[in-house]
Amino acid sequence: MNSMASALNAERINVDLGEKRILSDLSLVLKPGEFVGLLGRSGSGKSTLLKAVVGEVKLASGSITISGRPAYSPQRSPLLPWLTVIENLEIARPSSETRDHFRKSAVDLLKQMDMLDARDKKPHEISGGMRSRASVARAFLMSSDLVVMDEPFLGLDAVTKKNLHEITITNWQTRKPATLFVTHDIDEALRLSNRLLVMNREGSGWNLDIPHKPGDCSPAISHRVYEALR
Amino acid sequence: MRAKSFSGVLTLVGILVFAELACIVGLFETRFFPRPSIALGRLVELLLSSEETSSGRFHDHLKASAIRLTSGIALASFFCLTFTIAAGFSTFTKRVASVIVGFLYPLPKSAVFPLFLMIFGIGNHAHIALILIGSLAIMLATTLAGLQRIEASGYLEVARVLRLPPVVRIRRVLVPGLMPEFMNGLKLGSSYGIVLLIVAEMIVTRHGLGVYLWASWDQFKIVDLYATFYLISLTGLAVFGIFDFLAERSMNSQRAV
Repeated sequence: MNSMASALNAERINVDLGEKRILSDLSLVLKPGEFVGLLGRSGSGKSTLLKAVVGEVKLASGSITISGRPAYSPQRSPLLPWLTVIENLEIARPSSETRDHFRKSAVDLLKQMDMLDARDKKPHEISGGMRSRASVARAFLMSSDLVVMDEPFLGLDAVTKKNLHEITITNWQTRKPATLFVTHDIDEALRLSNRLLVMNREGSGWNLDIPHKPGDCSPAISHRVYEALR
Repeated sequence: MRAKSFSGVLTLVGILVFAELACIVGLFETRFFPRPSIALGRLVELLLSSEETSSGRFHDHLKASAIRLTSGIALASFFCLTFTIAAGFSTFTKRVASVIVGFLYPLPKSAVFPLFLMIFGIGNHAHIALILIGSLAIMLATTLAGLQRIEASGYLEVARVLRLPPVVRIRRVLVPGLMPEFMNGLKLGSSYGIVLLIVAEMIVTRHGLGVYLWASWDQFKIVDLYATFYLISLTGLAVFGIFDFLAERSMNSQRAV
């Protein structure tokens, strides 16, 4: 595949953590407009793949090509506790954007997410659902061609999660950046993704890599994903 | 915070009242342990008057010690923050800073003082260098622990993946993130700095609280000796209180989410 046309091109990457090889000869290409749900058993190397994509872990070999700077929503503590919600969004401002324009975009997004009242609050003063929303908002505000999210909806109640799914899709649809998100929730992956990936236990390839119609949560596809996970 | 301050003041007053009563009933020998009211009264007198003693004016001693202490602590703070912030950018610098701490920490600082006297001569510089070295080891050890904490909390990861420019990373992530441990380091480093300063001033210099203490002992001015003890202890207490308050405040702003 032509790497220039892809938002992410990882070619035969190997990643070691200590003595252990976590990712082995793994390849992945993401095209613009893809919303990819990445599933896999615990310890298979999903988070390590995301960290490799954003440059947080070194590659033992192989290469990763990305157009521009990726937006990343890490699994834990994504918001800086000493900054307010709006300040947490503003630190992601790319140098190419003016402060005023970026602030306006951030405020608009908070309004859309029903979080305007929380803009001047610290992360510990708002709920877990609001913190997740702010984290997702920051990832989309970065206007990157590649958005990488590690279990962004973890630990949320069903209603908050559903709302956040809708907000995520609404934001994604404005620019449709290539998006790669890790989840352990099959239904969530089926609801959001237009491509499903299931990593094998060795972190060396994919048990499943299929296009998908977002929202199709039929038992057949659900069963297929489940079987790929086993 | 108010309850904490109140209980602290109450404890201090309790100790002083006990000592006062112990002196009155003869439990303490007043030749060697004057009543706190007398020693504190003498301290107030020394602070308010410009009385000339055989070793010079108390104000001059106090001023000399204050200049040395604040200069030493300010320099130690500067080096501590510079090293720790640099360590936040590179693992190599982090290793270098850890080696500096490991090298300086076990060294008996007062033993190095003669060397500083040889290098800097008899003057403020040798004392300031001693406070710098002594406080820096403690401050670096605690502030580097803060760096480990914010790394483990994922805050540095956020700064890296957002590709924050160095200035923003320092201003928005490293400095506020390191504040609780830095304040604790300042608290311990300043207290240790006071200890080193008094010891060094007793050895060689013309002005300083250490000189005044030594002269009071030499002339058997027990009340003056205790007045200086109280001043040093109260200064230490104030330093502890201020930096404790600031550490707690900055820790509150980092409440885990």
